Amino acid sequence: MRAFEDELRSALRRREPPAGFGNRILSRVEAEERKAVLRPRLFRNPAVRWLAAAAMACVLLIGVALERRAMERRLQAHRAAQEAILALRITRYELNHALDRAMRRGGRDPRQEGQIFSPKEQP
Amino acid sequence: MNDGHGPNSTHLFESTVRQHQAMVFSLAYHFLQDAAAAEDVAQEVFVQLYRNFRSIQSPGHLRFWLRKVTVHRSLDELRRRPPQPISLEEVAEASTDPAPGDPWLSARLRRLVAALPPKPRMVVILRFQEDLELREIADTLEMPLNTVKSCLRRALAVLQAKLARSVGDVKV
Repeated sequence: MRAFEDELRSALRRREPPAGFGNRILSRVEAEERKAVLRPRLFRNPAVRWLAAAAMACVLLIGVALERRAMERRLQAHRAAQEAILALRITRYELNHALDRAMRRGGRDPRQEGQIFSPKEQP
Repeated sequence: MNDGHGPNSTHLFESTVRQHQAMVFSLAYHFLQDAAAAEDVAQEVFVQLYRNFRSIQSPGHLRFWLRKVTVHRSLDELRRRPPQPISLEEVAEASTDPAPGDPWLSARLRRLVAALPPKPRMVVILRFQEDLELREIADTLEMPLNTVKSCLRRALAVLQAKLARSVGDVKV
């Protein structure tokens, strides 16, 4: 068993990594350092990063709320316009109806409506 | 161990890499049996070390940290790969270092170790590459001590049996 374990030790001995391994790691680390320098010093503090994220979330929520309110106002305006159009239609109908009745009482044929106010009959 | 990132810490980090690169690379290589993947894992480990350099308290802590992170990165790397049956004949040889024992036997043993399931494989590598005590292996792998003991016993029995069979095949 001892000889077998020694063979295992020999088989699993440490081996050096391929050439340039250390330099490749240092290059990666330097690249990370450069990235860290580009990031503003203020934002390296995790608390500041959290605060910034919270502020951005607040701005986003306020923006969504304002947009929703504006949309509701636009909808209300549209509904009011529709109601006004409907009211005008009803008024026109009522006026036509009243005119029709008045003409019938005066013995005129409302179907010859076009002749009622013709230039010849006007006083 | 380190008071921050700067020119001095970069030099300290560089010497740390040179000092421990063989350990980290070999752990990953013996486990994954793939030199390119082992180098990737080792690079990741050292980049992670650079990020956490301030938290390292002593050389002993550094060795423990490197082993633990390498072991877990290697296990993650193995999980990410699609399952591949390891043929005893296909396991690549990466190093050109001259082997001290019988080269054929060493190669055969590495292939047999590579064919073990992940946890027993790592136990064997930590025991025979790093000469760790069973308690240290248990701490590194976050496994109960008795599990490590039984894992190692079974793995050695399997390796011996398979080696005896393959030696027998060659003699025939």
